[in-house]
Amino acid sequence: MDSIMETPKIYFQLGPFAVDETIVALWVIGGIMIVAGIILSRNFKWLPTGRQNAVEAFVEAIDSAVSFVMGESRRFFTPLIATLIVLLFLANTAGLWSFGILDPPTADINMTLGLGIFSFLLINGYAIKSHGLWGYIKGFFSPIFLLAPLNIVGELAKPVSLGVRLFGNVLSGVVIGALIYNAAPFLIPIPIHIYFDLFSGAIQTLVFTMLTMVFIAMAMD
Amino acid sequence: MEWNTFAVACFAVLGAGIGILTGLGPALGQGYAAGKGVEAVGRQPEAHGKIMTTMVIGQAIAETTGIYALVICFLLVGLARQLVG
Repeated sequence: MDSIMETPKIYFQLGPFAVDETIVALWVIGGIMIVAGIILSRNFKWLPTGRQNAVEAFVEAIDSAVSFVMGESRRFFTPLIATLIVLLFLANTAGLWSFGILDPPTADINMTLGLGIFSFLLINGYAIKSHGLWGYIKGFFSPIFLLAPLNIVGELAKPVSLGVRLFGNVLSGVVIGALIYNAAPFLIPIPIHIYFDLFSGAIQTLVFTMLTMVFIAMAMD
Repeated sequence: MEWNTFAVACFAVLGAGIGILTGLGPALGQGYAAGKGVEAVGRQPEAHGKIMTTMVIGQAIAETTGIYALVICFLLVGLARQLVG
């Protein structure tokens, strides 16, 4: 990305949809996730060794985080949260592991707002599922009916805040990285990559998934 | 260039520069959180890992307002670039 806020480059047109850099990067990430999933989960044994140990440690870490944040009875969210974590981490660090061929797809507001809307649907879907439609609507009028507009705006602000937070963080990393590459292209960008891609990417992954978990758990209680 | 366009572009860039001052708020908040984190580690060194995680996540959430301002600034600079061409 050589200029600030450049729209992603469009490769070709697929029916009514324009296939741009973001979508291609997401195809690559999806392919990596599928292939890694197949390779890593092949022929598990009862006594785990090597690769299986690593996979089990990863799954167990996420499982314990989910049951700690959302409660023991909601551990069925673990696959969803694990997928979100892997997807977001790969997306945030896309500039690093693809050696600059791909831009991070999360530097596109369409992707992050899409994820925000996905979280929004999950939050409200599970709120309706656990309280019933009437209880869900009544929830907006608590503690007093005068607060209904505030509650509704607060609910609508959740996907926007989730999406824009991720977008802004990743975009700022990309822009600062481009500035540094213009100023000092040799050796200096390495610590910048470590901070903006690895550290910031991991933190934003954690924040997005953590907030999604907390919002869903709050909506279900 | 027309005078109106020029003025709008000028003030958009100026606004972006002023908008970055929002960084003051998140900076204060994050510094406060970091200070409290150091205090907590001093009091309970064995809980270092948990304190660290909680602190960093809290800081990342506190950073949000600054990030909003940054996005607005990017939009303003983008507008100015579009106007100037």
